[in-house]
Amino acid sequence: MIKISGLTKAFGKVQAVNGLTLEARDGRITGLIGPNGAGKSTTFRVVFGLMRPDEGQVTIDGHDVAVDRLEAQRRIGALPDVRGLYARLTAREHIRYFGRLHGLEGAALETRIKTLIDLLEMDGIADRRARGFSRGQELKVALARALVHEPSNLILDEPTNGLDVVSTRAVRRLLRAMRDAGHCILISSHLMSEVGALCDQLVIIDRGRAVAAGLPDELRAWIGCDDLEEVFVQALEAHAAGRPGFFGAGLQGGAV
Amino acid sequence: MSGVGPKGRVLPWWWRAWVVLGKEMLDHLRDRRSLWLALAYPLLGPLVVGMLLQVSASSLRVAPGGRAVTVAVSGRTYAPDLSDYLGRNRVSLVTPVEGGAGQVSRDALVLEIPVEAVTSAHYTVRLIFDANNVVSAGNAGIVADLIHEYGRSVARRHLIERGIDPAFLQPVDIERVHVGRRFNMGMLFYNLVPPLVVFMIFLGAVYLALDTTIGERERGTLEPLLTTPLRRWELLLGKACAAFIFTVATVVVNLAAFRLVLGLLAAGVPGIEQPPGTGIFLLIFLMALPIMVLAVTLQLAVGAIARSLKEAQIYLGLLPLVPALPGVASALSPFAPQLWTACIPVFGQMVMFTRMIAGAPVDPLHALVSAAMTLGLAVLVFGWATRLYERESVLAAE
Repeated sequence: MIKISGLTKAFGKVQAVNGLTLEARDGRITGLIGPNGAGKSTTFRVVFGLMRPDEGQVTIDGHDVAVDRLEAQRRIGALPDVRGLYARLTAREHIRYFGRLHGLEGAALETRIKTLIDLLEMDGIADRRARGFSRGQELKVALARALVHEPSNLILDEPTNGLDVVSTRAVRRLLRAMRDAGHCILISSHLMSEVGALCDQLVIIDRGRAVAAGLPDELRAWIGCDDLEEVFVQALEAHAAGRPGFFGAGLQGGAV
Repeated sequence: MSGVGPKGRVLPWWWRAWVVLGKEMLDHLRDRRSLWLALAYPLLGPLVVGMLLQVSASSLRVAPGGRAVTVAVSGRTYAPDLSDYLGRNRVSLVTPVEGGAGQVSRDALVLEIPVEAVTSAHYTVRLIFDANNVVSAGNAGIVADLIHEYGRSVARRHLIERGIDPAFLQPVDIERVHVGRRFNMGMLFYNLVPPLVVFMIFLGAVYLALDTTIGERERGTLEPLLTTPLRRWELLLGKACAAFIFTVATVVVNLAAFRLVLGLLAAGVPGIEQPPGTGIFLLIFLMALPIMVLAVTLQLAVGAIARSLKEAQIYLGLLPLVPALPGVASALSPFAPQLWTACIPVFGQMVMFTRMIAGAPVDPLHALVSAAMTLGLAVLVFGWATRLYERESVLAAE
């Protein structure tokens, strides 16, 4: 479970995150959506343990990221918006490197690598060096290294951006399976179709604050429109106009 | 709390650093640039010094018992006794080409004897040389000394013929006593070895250090890496160890090439003593290990400070000069090892290297103090680099 309470983070005079509170629960896929500059990437970087909050707290399965960073990081699988790969390492070596950093070794690690290669349909690139990989291939490797230690919490920035239809479906199947197994999954995406197809709950943020949160159907009912893209736009307009946001009961203590 | 959990074990710090080291070694052993810099660049210094030694040796025409000087003499027949005297003292006299002084070039030396030498008791010879050319100037000194000596011997003969004690001619004599080791031209070049080795220490793993710090940031691999349960100092330790291994390889190649090239050249040129033995080179290698540790920590720190590869290249290009310059100074004007020299990291070792090359014994206390000071500075720089890596801005590429 990922809990974010009153998270505030500024860079000089730029207030990137401004009192954000949300809860991504186990066994659910939570979607974090917002316009460019809303604070999604900064929020994720704090959750990843890459940045310290100015105020507020982020906990992963009860471990405060700012206080107990390593324990929190052991429990997350991170897919940042930068997917960089080492050009001279193969896809398999990338996954193995991250697996070893997470404490996996030997047969258990190799079996896990094989499983991920099969799941993400990476047979053709598993033993190829990463130089020249397509964006989709890079994303698969980045996803595989985030999943290698079977983390209880997955935090994925645009997890299917750049994948073809078949691979997108494979990733969605994988994420749903992990959700069903009880993993907590927090994703950000610009694609409303992605959000609609995957997420059990949504948090819309703007200028570093949650402006609406709830189940997709709750948000549709709030705006009175079936199109999630329209829901997103109207939620932002409501926030800009100073009207109160919507925080669904189904969230059970979620975004505030 | 989730019912599922991470599958990995909690690893000790050294294992995590080991994993990083393993990845960096695998990555950079596949990289031609890293290998080229570590294994081929160290050959350049020995080859250049070897070529300089070869060229200088052939210019000086070193031979056992002294060196033969060639002089182009015009008017040789005007002073046959002087010509014979020079010839007996290993000066080779040749006929000058047309053009006189204008033909003096490189290490050529021209002696012009005037026609007055035939009839006059006193005449002036002209010695034409290039004062900017070390060989030409040196040879001119040798020939001038011989002509002076010849002049004095003629004067002595004249005085004796006139019944005058020749001691009146020169009431004070100088007896020159050379207390140094036998002149060995090779030493001039062997003294270049320490600063060049230190230069290579700071250059050997420079590409790896750049690639593993700024390169990691620029290609976007640093951010995913820092999301793993890895302390920043563990990450840097793994990277530093990889850079250290490449630096060690560089220095081994460099020192071995120096010993081999200089040894082969010295064997083929009479009058040049062999360079110090393999044992001394091995000792230099061991005493250089703390410098290698310092070099990689400095490189990692620069990698953390610089915002781009271009900026880092500027810093790292200058970095080898800082420790190498005092070394060059000590090669030209050797310092005696004292406590204060030992307390200056890198410089302390350079002072010892210069003495070891000259065949002087190593002061163990000086060696220990300089190693401790250099390692102490390396630890401080490593701590500083770790702090730089703990900044949030370490993720931001230019």
